[in-house]
Amino acid sequence: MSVSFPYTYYACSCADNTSTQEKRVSQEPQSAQDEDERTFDPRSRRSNFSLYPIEHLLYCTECHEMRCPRCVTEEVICWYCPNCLFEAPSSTIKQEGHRCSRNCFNCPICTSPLSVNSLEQPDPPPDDKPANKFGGPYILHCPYCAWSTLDIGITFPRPSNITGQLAKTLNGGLPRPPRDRKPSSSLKRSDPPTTHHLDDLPSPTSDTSTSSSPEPPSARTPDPQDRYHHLLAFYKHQLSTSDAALLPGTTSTSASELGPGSPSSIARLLHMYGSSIRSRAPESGPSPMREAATPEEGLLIYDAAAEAADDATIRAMQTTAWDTHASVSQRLDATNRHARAVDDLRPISPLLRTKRAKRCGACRQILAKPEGKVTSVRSKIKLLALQNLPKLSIKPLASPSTMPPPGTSAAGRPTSTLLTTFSSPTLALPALSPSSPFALRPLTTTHYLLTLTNPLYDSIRVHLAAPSALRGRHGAGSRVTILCPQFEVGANTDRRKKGERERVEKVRREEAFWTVLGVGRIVGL
Amino acid sequence: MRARPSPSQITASALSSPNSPHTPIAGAYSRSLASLYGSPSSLMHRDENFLVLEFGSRYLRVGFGGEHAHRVAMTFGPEDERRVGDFRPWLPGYREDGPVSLEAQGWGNEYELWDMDTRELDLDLVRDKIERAVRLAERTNLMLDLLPRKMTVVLPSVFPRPLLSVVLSTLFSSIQVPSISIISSSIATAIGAGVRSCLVVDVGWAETRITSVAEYREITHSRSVRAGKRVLRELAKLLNEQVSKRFADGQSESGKCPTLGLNEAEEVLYRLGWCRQLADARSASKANLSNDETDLPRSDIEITTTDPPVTLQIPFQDIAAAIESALFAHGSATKDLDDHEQSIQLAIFRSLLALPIDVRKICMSRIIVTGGIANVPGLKRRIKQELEYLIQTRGWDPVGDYGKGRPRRPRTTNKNPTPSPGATKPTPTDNDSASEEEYIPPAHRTPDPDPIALSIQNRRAATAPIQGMLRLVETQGAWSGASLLAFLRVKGVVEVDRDRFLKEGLAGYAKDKDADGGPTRKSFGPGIGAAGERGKWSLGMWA
Repeated sequence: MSVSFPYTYYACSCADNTSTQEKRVSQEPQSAQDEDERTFDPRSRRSNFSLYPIEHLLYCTECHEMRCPRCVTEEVICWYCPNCLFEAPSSTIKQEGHRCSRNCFNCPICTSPLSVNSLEQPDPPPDDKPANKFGGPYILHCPYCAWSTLDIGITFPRPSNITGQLAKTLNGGLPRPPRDRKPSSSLKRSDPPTTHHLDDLPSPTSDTSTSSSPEPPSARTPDPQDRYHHLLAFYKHQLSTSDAALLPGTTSTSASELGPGSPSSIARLLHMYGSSIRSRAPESGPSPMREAATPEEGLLIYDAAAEAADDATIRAMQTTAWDTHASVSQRLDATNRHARAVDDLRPISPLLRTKRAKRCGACRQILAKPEGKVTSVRSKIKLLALQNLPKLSIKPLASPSTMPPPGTSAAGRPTSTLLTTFSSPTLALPALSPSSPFALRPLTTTHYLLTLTNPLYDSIRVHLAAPSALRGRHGAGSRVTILCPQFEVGANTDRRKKGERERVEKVRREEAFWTVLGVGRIVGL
Repeated sequence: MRARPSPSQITASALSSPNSPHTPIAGAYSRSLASLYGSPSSLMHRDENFLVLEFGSRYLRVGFGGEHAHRVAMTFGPEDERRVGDFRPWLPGYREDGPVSLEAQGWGNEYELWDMDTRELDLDLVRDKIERAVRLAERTNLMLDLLPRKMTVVLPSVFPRPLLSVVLSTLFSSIQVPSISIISSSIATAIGAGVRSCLVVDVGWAETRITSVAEYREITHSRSVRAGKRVLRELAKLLNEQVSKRFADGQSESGKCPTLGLNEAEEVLYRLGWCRQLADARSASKANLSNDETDLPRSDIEITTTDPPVTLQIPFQDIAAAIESALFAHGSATKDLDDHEQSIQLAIFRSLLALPIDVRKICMSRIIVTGGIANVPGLKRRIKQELEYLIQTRGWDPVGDYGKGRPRRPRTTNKNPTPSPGATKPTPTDNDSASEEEYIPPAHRTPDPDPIALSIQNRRAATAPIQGMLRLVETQGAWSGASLLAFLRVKGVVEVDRDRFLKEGLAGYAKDKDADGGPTRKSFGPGIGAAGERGKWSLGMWA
C-alpha cells in the first residue's frame, strides 16, 4: 500500500498529548517552552509510532479528530480461529490459552498451516467406524516445507481431536506421564483449579533428551508447569497453615468452613471484634512459614544430574549440524520456548483472532463495529478517516528523474495536522539509493505535484507549510518552495440526495474531486 | 559494590537472621487475608484476569497470573519500531540496515527498551515503545474480555524514577487497570524458586545484577556490566573476525566483506552457546599458547543474512571462550578492571563477603542464577566452580592481595569457610557448669537459656535449612514468581492507585519510611486497610 516511494503519512496528535502530561508527571527539567516549539520531525524515531497511512485511521465525528490505533479503546466482539474460522466460546478461551482447540496447527519450522494426512493409502473403503478402519495412523504434515510430526516421532491414531492426542504424547511418541498434581500437603483445595490448555501443551524441558540419547525426560528436570503447581500448592499450604495458626479458633480454611454459620466463622468473628476473648495460643504456636524443602514442594537444585544434562546438551551441540538446532525465531512461540533442537519443536496451535469494536478514547463514541458473525466482513459502524479527511497524494510532475523527497505539511483542519512525509532516512529503500533516478541532484530543480482529494460536501481551505531547509540523508540542505501555499478545495460535486449517498458511495470515491494545489519546486544545492 | 539505597533494610536484615524468632511472613509482603475473611463466593471466582508484566531491558513478558509461564515476550528491536503500514520487510529482497560497527559506543542499543542511564534517554520514545508493545500483546495474545482488575509489574529493584513514572503512566493509560502493584525482580525470582533467602544472580542484558535476599528483603545489591550485551558483542566480534578472514583468503567471490551484527550473534548464542568447565578452560588456554588450533573440532555456522549466504567454520571451543571472556574476564587482571566491570564470579564473591555471616551461610547455599544468559548450558556449573575456586583460594577474606604484607591468619583451603551453625553460639549448658566454679559478674555471664528461643531453635532443628555449603538453586523465573504472588493474592508493598497516580504522579508517594516494611497486621477484618492505608501509598524500595 504505502511502499511505493512517494507516500503519505498522517500524524496523529495523541502522542503529543501524552508527552506533555508526562512532563508534568515526572517533572522533567525540560522547559515547557521547549516542548511547544518543537515541531513534528518525521525523521525522529518517535515519529514511527505516531505516523499512519490514512487507511489505518478512524475519524470521530463528535470530537472532529482523527483517531489512530493508540487513541481508541477496543472491545472484543468475538474470538475465532484464523485457520478454521470457527468462533471460540468466550468461556473456554482462556483455559485453552487463546488458541484453537480444534485440528488447526501451524508448522514450527515455517509457520504455515499443517494438514492432517493419513499415513496409509486411502484404498481401504471407509467403514462405519472410520476412526479405526480408515487410513490408519495420521500425521500433521506441512505442505510447504514437508515437515511432519513423523520428524518428531508422533502419529495420531484418530484424525479428530488432534489437540487432545498431542497433549498426551511426548516428542518421540512416548505417552506423556500423567501429571502428578497431588501436592504434598493434604489440603484438597490446594489443587490448581483449572488446567490451562497452554500449560497442557508440553514444553520440552531444557535438558534436550535428543533422539540420540533417549532418556526418560522425567528423570531430570520436572516440567516447568509441574514445578509451578508444586510451588503453588506449597505456598498455598504454607499460607493457609500459618494464617490458620494465627487464630485459635480456626484450624482449616476449607471452603465449607467459611460459611457464615459455621462454628469456625463464629469463633473468628468473636475473635475479630473482641480481642479480649482471645484465648491463649495453643502450645505449638504459629509455625513460621518455611521455604520449600523437597522437589514435591517445588525446590529444584542444580545438582550433578543437572550438570550431566548440561553435558549431554553440549555434546549434542558439538556433534550435530547447524540446522538441527532450533533458531531464535522458531523458539519465539510459547509452545517451543524451551526447545533447543529441531527435534524438540512441537506443532503450534494458532492463536485466535478477535473482532473488535472501537470507541473514541475521548468521547466513547463507537467508531467501528464489525458484524458479529465471524465470516462476515461487513461493519455495522465504520467511521473512516478516509471519508472525512482530505486525502493527500504526491507525484512527480515532469519525469521520474525528478522525484523529490521533501517533507511537506498541510493543515487541513484546525484540530489536526496532516503531514506528508517520505521515507525515513534510517530505512534504505531501494528506490531511494543515491544512484536511483528519484534521488535529488545538486543544483537541479525538481517539481512535484501535491494532489488533495476532498471527500466532504463542503469546501475546505488549505494552508501549506514546509521546512525552510530539508534535513536527512537525501537532499539535505535543499530548499522547498511552495508555489501556492493557500487555496481552497471545492466541495465534493456528488450532490445527491442523502438517502442515495450511502448507496453510491463507491462511485463517489472513484470520481472524487481532484484539484491541483500547487507546484512545489526544490532547488538542490 | 553498592549497598541498597535505604539503610533501614540492612538493619532489618539483622532482625531476620535465622537465629532470632521471626514473624511468619516477615517483611516485604503481608498476606492477603482475603482467603480467610473474603466470602466463599469470591474464592471460587477465579476467572479474573490478573495481568503480570515483567520488564526487562530487551523483553516485556506479559501473561496471566496463575499460569506457569508468560504468554508472550515482546521484543524491542528496530523491526518492532516500523511504522504502521510499512510492509517492506515482506518485499522480496528487503534487508535490514547493516549493523553498526562493533567499536561504536552504543552497540546493540537499538535492540533495547531502555538504557538505565536516563540522561540521554528519550523518555517519550520509551513510552511509545511500551505502549505499542502492550497494545500488541493485548491484541495478539491476551485478548482481554473484561478489563483486568489487578496488574502486577516486575521491575528491577534499582530503577530510575523517570522510567518508573513512564512505565506506570503508560500502563495506566493503555490498560485501564485500577491499581498496579510493583514487585522487585529479585524477590519474585526467590519466590519462583521456593526459597526465602537467596543470592539472585541475574545475568541479564545490560548488566548482571547480584542481589542478596534474606527473608524476602533485599539486603545488598551490586552490578557488573558483564552480561548479555557483552556476550553478544564478543560473539559478534568472533564472527566478524572469521568472516573477514574468509574474505581475505578469497574463499568467497563477492567483493564486500559483510559486517555481522547482533542478530547473527544471537543466533549463534542460542544454537551453539556453551561454557566449559573451569579445569577445561584453564587447560585449553594453556594449550592454546603452545600449539595452533587446526585440529580442534569445528562447528558450521550458516549465516543467511549476508548476500550470498556464508558458512563459517568456527572451532567449538572458541564460542565458549568468547562467552567466558565476556563473563568471567580471565584474560585481564582484577586490578585492571573498573568496579562496574568486575567478573561475575568476583562480584558474587564480594556480594557474599559483604553479607553478615548468618545471612551469608544461608545465601551461599541458595544461589540462583537466572536471566537470559543463564540458559547457556554449562554456565551455572562454571559459576559454581569459579566460586568454589575463589572461596578455596581466598577464604572469606576481604583482602584479595596482601602484596608484601602477610595475612593475619593463614588462609584456609580445605576447611569449611563458614562455621557450622552449632559453633556460632556457645551452648548454654557448658557455661552454666563453668559458672558454678568461679564467680563471673552478671554482666559477663551468659544469659539464662530462654525457653522460647530454645523451643524455636528446636523446632527449627527438625527442618534445619541447608547452609554453609555452596549450592545453586533453580528458579522458575521472576515472571512465574510474580504470577504465583498474583494468584495467591498476596498484597504487595507498592500498590499504586490509578486515580491517585494520575492526579499526583510519583510525587504523591508517602515519604513515610514505616510503610517500607509493608502494612503490618494492624487490623483484622474484611476490607483491611481500605480506609486507613489508601490515604498514603508507598513506593517501597523504589522511593
